[in-house]
Amino acid sequence: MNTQLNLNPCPQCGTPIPGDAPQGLCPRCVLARAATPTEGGSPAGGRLVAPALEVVAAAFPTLEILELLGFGGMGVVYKARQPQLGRLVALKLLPQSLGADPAFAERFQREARCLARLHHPNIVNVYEFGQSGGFCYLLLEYVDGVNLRQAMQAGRFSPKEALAIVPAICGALQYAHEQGVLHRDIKPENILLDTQGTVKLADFGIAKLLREPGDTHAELTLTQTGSRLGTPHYMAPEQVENPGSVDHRADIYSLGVVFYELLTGELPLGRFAAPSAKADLDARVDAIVFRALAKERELRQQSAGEVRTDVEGLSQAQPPGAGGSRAVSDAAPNPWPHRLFWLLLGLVVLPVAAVIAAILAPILMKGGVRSFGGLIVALVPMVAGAALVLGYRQSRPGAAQAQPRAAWNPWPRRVFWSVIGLVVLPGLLIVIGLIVPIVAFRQHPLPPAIDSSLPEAADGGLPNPLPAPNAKLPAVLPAGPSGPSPSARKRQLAGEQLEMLRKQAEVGLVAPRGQEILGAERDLAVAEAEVRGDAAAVAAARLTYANSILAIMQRLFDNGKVSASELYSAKTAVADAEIASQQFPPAGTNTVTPLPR
Amino acid sequence: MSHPATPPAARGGAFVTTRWSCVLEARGASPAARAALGELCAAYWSPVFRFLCCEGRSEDIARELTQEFFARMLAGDSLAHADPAQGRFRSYLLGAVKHFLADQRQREGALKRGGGTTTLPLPGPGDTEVTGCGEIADVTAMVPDSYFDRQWAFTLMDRALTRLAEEMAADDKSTQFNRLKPWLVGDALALSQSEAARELRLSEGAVKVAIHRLRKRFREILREEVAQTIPAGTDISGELRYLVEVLATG
Repeated sequence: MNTQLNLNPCPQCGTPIPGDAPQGLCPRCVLARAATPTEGGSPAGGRLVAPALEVVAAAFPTLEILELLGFGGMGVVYKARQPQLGRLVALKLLPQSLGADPAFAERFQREARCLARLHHPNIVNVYEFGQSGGFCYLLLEYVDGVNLRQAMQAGRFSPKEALAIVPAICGALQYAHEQGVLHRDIKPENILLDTQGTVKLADFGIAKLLREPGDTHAELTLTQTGSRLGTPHYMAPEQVENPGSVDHRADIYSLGVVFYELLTGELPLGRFAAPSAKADLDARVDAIVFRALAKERELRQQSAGEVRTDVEGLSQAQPPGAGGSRAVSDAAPNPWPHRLFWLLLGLVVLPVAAVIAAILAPILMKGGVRSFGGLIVALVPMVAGAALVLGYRQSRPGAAQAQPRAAWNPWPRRVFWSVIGLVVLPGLLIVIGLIVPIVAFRQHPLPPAIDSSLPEAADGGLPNPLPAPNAKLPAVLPAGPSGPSPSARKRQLAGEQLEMLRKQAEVGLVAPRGQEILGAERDLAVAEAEVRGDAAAVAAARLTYANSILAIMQRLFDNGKVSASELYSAKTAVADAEIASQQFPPAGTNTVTPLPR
Repeated sequence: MSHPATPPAARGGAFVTTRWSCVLEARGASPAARAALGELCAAYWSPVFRFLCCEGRSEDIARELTQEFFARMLAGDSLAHADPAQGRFRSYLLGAVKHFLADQRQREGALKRGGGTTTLPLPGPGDTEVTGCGEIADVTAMVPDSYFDRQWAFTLMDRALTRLAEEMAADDKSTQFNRLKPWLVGDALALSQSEAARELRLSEGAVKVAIHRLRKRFREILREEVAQTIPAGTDISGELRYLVEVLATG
């Protein structure tokens, strides 16, 4: 016994270690630790009773049953030896009651055959399987080591260790997934570490074997034996909600939980912190872990190989010194490139789209489909904004699921980016989308006839800028050498107006033979006559159309659609046209009469 | 303080069967039972010695007294009264020590008065009260029973650790044992496992495996050691819990 005076406090309990403490270790802690029940290896709830060695030895005469290794993977595991081969094996016995169920036995055969085909350095080999002495059994590779749970109890993993273990698990998973085998119950108890530090995945597919959908018997039996049917903490959300629909991405979620636990020593429950907040870690690890833990499997890494690549990418890009990595990583968090992309899209591409929309809008409006163009102008920035927000949210790993978002790094940064993404950018786009068209409209005013704020011209005379045709008309006839004559421009405008009104008539905005269209037809006929210098035709056209419009106005007045003053204007227009036409000899209304020269 | 001269036989001598049960069953009469008792006494020599030291005697006198105590105990037939159904070797030994001291005091007093020497029988197991000698019980009153139990726990732990060290040495793993034994205390160590891994030229995972094994084996050995000192069928965990409590309150 060490009798030196020892005033060192115990690193565990902090009390001074007695001077005569054996080997200088705190007796209080050493004995307290040894007095606590064994870690792992004990049946859940203490209800699963292991068959005695003699019973097992009788059931397996070709094996030397050496010792009970523990309880796990829904069965009892013994260490045994195959004398002929001289190798150690692990014999896993499933609860005896299951062996009695023929349906289970058949499924067991089928599944075990699948498992026996898996050969990978990081997967515990299945040597043999079958039924013997009433037991369904699996003869497995003996792994001389501990499981990850026990290893974590021996001391928390350093980030370096954790980052070394995860790729090995990924390799095994990727291989099994390629073979069409899901693990379904990844947890520290099923990940073994041998004395060389090699990782071995155990109990592939056992969960499915014991939990075939629709078969309540196996589940019931196991529950009765006290064996746990997988721990919910490691199960993917869809595995809990809809076990029938799970795919390999459920394994990736479970792997994420194990990864988190390896790094932090805790389970990712509730509002869990980012791993880098708990351990001295590169913050890029957070993104990998959060992504694997995404609630929606579409947002997770889509293969175990992808997780492996992510993790290995970290160690390659990272300098060996761990101290500096944190400062660097804080300055450049992992999701940043994605955000940058979406911000660029928002700031450059979408405003350009909005401007294009703004340019298109007046053209559409000029065509007369005013409300449609306006809709497009409003919609483009809105759709663009929505796309931006969606892209922004999706570019954040795990952002769309409740848990990791709740635990997303420091609050201010999160709020800042959320506000930018959700409010400021879409708002900015909508403002741009609206201001640009307004400015564009001011530079190219719309024809007044379609502006509803102006009073309707009952006789169509109001927009006509020309004074009543008279003898002075020929004075305007000679076209200037440069550019079209005023008459020609007037004819062009009238043609456009008529065309637009006809389009409006097609969508029912004006009557097909209403006073608006008649007015426009009159303006066109008048303008054409003026271009020709045919004053008689001008007067005739005015008179003809004035009469037609008066007829319509009279009908509208009779129906109470127009006021007496509007009817009066129409009548006055007819009277004016008659006065004008008296200057010319009576002829066919639309007959072209050359002006006397 | 110098290292107490623990008899070599006590160091790391692994028991094959449950010694105390053997002693109780034979009531100390058979040669096997006497041998078992001899081994137990050798193993738990230290708590008695320290208990006697604690009364203010010099180490030499305490050592002489301890030798005399064990010599008388092994020669006596007091175990005929031992009840196999109850009593732990720990309780029995403490009772015997107290009785021995009382007897010693009485003899010293009698010699002073010129009287003869009458020896009292050793008490049976579980008989922690030193009956019939109330007037001299205060001799040990200043040393509480818990002091003896603490020393007992230390000895138990020492025995288990020594055995573990010997096992590891047999596997050529002495360096590993010495490097990893601090982890027997618990997890909250500031010690770096990666450093230990480097020194031992193992991977960190392998160090974790080794620590787990070390703890597991230590637990097994400790329980085996406890089992040697309690009657067959008695709860080992109960005895361990008691010792943990004694250490925690001491």
